[in-house]
Amino acid sequence: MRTILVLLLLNLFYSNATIAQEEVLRSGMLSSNENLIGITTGMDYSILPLTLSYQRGIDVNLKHPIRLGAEFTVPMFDFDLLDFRFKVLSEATILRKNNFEIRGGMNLTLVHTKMQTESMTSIGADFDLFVGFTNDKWNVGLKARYNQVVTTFIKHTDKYRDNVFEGAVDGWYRSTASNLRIGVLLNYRIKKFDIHIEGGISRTGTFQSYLFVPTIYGLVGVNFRF
Amino acid sequence: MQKTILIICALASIILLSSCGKDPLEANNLVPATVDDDSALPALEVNNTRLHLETFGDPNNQAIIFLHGGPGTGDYRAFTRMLERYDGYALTDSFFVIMYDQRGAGLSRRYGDINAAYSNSVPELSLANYLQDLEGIVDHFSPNQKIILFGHSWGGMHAMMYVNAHPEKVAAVILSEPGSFNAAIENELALGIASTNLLGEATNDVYWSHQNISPNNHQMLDYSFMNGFYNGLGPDYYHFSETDLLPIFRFGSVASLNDLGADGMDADGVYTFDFTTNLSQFTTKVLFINGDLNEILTPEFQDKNRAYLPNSELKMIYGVGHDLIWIKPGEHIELVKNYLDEVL
Repeated sequence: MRTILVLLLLNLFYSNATIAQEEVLRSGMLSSNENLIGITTGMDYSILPLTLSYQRGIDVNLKHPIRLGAEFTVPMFDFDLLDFRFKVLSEATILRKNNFEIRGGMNLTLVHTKMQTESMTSIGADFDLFVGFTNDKWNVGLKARYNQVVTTFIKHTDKYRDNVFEGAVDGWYRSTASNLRIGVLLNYRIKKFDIHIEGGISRTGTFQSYLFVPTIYGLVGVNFRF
Repeated sequence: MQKTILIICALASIILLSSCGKDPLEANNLVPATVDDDSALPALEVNNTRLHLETFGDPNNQAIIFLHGGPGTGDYRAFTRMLERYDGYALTDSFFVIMYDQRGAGLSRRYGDINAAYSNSVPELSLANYLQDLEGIVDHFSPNQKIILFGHSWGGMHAMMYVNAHPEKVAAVILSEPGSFNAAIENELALGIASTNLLGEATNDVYWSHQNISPNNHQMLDYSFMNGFYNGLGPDYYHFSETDLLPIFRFGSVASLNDLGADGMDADGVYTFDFTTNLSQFTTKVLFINGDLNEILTPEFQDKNRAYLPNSELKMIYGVGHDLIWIKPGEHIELVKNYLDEVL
């Protein structure tokens, strides 16, 4: 239900944007037909993950170009590809008044984790909201991200069956995870490059702590525009 | 119009996807049913709770009650190899064996709010209730005869809690690598964080998997807890076998997070319990059994516990860590038999 509500809100935001006007280069934003490739690391459900991304500004007859793209993340520079995350990214400016800006985004997510006891593949969505200020050099503000896993395929190994629960059922499970992040985003533009830093608190979608791992996140990255 | 159709299609796909999957909270999907989910499981109602409990052997024999480790991270499945026959002898030849999962652990009843567990304040998971459960079991199975207690790790502490309260009801005690008998000893232990390698695959897997599984409720918390322990985040200093894992019915995560509860520790996590106030009244020899690989619960550590007992003996089993009850059950049975032949 929460997923549907957020989707409806996003639809409302996207629909309310009006016809494109003159676009000014802004830090953290993409102009129409402008491309971006980026690399990011930090602490993001892993310590020192590596994220590679591509995005493009596209004019869809809204007031501002929207941003579409994709990103691929592997944890810990561990290139065995047993754990990975893939996202299809989208972001749009919902409101801009002078330098004040509100942006909303939705990403489709695919996350795979291979453990000794089970492997899990989750399909879900991120819902992003950014509120802050932007000019040609700086983009700074608060960013919230809610992720809802819609369904997860879980397959157990013999290790789990032999030592814990022999009767565990493999298959698709609904709504196995949700996560919430609230933090600060800072983006600084130097010619063709954006340097961005982001950090804050991280909890489950019902604001529970994680087990065994940090409940904060922090990211640093560089983007190249072309 | 086109955009509206696309949005409707996306919504329909999400609704379809989210309604197709199985319920992860349903018993016997990801984690097993407890005695509250499955009435066919062997159980005993005692002290207003329902415990997963099994008995083995002739009820006319003297009762020996097994107390597992934890709280929460163990259950009686770890003792099941000790029911087998070694060198022609099985415990059930001479004794009525009682094994149960403590409240909140194994297949016994779940308790508590997750948030309360993080602050060690689940009211039902208190030392007083752990003791009253055992008192109820003793009264049910052996009201007129002294019992024998076998405790492993926290189970050894649990055994001493009972001995301290009822020294007159206990005929013999075997403690396999027990934890501390009181807060003074326990607070000195200062056990470290489980993981020693932040960049290791185990940390990575557990951290990464929070995108697939959220510990928002009992079942998912148990599942996440299992992921931590069975994917390499278990404490290294216990030297558990990596090829013959200590098995468990279920990780009782809330019981584990709650630790000794509000009557065993204060709000800052400092231990306050004391099971030694009356131990001088128990003059029967107590048998301690230790592995040689455990780096924390060492023979020197056990000397601190033994100082509170008028009479005790420590026997070593070599080549094994804290999972000694599972890895070396035959050696345990031999030591137990010899000890009980001596003191009974």
